[in-house]
Amino acid sequence: MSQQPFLRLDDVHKRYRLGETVVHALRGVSFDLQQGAFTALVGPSGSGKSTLLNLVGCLDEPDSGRVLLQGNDVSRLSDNERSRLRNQHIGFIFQSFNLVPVLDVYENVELPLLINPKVSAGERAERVLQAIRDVELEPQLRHLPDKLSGGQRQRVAIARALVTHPLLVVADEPTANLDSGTTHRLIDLLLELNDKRKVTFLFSTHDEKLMARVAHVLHLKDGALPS
Amino acid sequence: MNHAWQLALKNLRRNRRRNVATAVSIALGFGGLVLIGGYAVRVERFLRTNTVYLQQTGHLSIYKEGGLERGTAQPATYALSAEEQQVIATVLSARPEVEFFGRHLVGMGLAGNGCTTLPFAALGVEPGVQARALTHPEVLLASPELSRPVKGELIARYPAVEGAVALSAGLAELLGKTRVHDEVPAAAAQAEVVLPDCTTKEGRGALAHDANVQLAGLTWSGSMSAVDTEVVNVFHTPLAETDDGTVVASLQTLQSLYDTDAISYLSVYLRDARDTSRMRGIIEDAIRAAGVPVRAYTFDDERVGPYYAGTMPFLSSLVGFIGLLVAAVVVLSIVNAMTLSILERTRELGMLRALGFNRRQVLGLCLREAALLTALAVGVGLLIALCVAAMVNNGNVRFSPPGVPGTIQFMLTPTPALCAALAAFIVPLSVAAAWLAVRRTTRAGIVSLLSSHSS
Repeated sequence: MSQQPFLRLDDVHKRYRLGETVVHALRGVSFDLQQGAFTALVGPSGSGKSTLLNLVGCLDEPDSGRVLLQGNDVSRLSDNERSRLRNQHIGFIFQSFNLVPVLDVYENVELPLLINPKVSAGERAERVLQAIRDVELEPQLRHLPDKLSGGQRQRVAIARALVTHPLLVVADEPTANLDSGTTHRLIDLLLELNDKRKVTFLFSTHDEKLMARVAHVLHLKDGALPS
Repeated sequence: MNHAWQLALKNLRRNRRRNVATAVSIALGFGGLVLIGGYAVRVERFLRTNTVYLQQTGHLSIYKEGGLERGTAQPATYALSAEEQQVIATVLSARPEVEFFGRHLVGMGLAGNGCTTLPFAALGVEPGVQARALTHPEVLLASPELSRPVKGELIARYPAVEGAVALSAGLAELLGKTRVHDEVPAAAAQAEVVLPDCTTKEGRGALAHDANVQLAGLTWSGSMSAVDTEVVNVFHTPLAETDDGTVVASLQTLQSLYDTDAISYLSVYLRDARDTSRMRGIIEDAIRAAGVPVRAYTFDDERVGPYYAGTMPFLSSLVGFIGLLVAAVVVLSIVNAMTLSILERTRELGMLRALGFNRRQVLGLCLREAALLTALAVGVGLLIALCVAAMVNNGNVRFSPPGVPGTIQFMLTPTPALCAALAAFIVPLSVAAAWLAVRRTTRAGIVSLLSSHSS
């Protein structure tokens, strides 16, 4: 009997309507990911990378097909259940960081834990500080985002994604807005966290440097994964 | 959830200029409501005090059944006898809600000074009860001007003066009684009454040398009757139209004039005016159960307090209309501020949803922002309103309200209950307005929120 995959996409279709036109963003995508995988999703613009990440991250629902996370079909969950799943098991890293400008580094990282009733105040503080230490931003603990560089902001976003101890981190072009030096350091950091925590990473990228360091790459073209 | 409130407070730091402008418009609107409400409270108190304490209807007037409608035409039939008065007094004394009560006799007649006779409407009072009513703290607060006689002292101060009466200022002037008992030299007061020569100016001027007035009327059995009285004070009636024809006398003096020991009605003064409607039924039932067929009327019944009953609906409509206009301004300010704020933060709301905030939590954050902004603005507006009210009240601005003799002070009385009620109206209103502004955005899909071009 084969081991159940951590993440399985089974014949997933997704269409969007743009005015009169129906865009087939995903056409029967199927793949499995094992726990702890560090996987890049590559493909030209408009190939459906972001759509696929949105479905994997439970931000959207497929028109048909199934997204199974640890064997559970996430499209059968209610909106509140999906919110809870995202909060407790999925971390997000966005291309444009998406930090809250009025919150400092500590508060931004703390944000997802504030709505998790399973985490006590003491544990929350411990986790936040650890996550900030992991991304080496302790000296900037009380800085607001507008006082940070692009690389530092993305590290805050990474800390925020990891502070919940997620099973899966979904990242959409995490290095797109960073210079090459910062990109290099960020890739090291993601690989280290993947290795240390066994967190499953799935991220979209156009970055050659990032692709060169990833063992597992999914190539998406016209909404499908050519075999 | 404290963190949600903290986050909402921090979010108010964004776009401070817009938030300050919104807060200012809410603060001014709320302050305006407090001041308008304070004016309405002042007018209501003034009218209520005039009706209840100065006209001595009490919060409740107790008449024999049919007495209010037919007592003037058939006083003997619809008056309350001495025995009935005793029964009613026993019932009222047992009620802790009743502060005090008084017996009253009303009647009509002619007042004469030896030269002229003029018609009057008389109110018989128990001097002690009248003094208690006119010096009641509510009266001193709301209507001190009309509670004090223009000249002289209250009847209760002259227990030794036989037939002590008070004349309304207009009647005293028409009768030429420009001096009251205290202003008349003792020798003149004790001198034998000499009929003046009414055909000469000197003779008519002599009318002011004493404070003596004769009251004449028909007894309830239909005979002519008259009493000699001494004017101990001159006062303004609460209503201008009664100021040239009102006599207030002790109950004993009027009962002597009309040759009866009965009364027209009892006035009941409650400790708390808010109990009036509830107590009307309770007291009426209790007296009826004791065997006296009575009917109790509240002071806001148009048959008892027509001026109060006629003015308050107009005032309420006016204040309500202005309140609605202000509320509309507050709603538009909040809708505008929240709409712009949400438009600027659409992607951030998407990020919160991605982090696991559900729709309700995101909506809650936005509503908390509106609630905090409004609460801060309400605090500032309240402060402004209280300062303005204090300045106006200390300025002793006076005016003549229609239908009231003399002037009264223009006052604003924003009571704690009024301020609390207005805040309890405005804050939920602004939260509802914010809900209108943000509900659509919070219902949108996460992907659509995240792909917004907002910051």
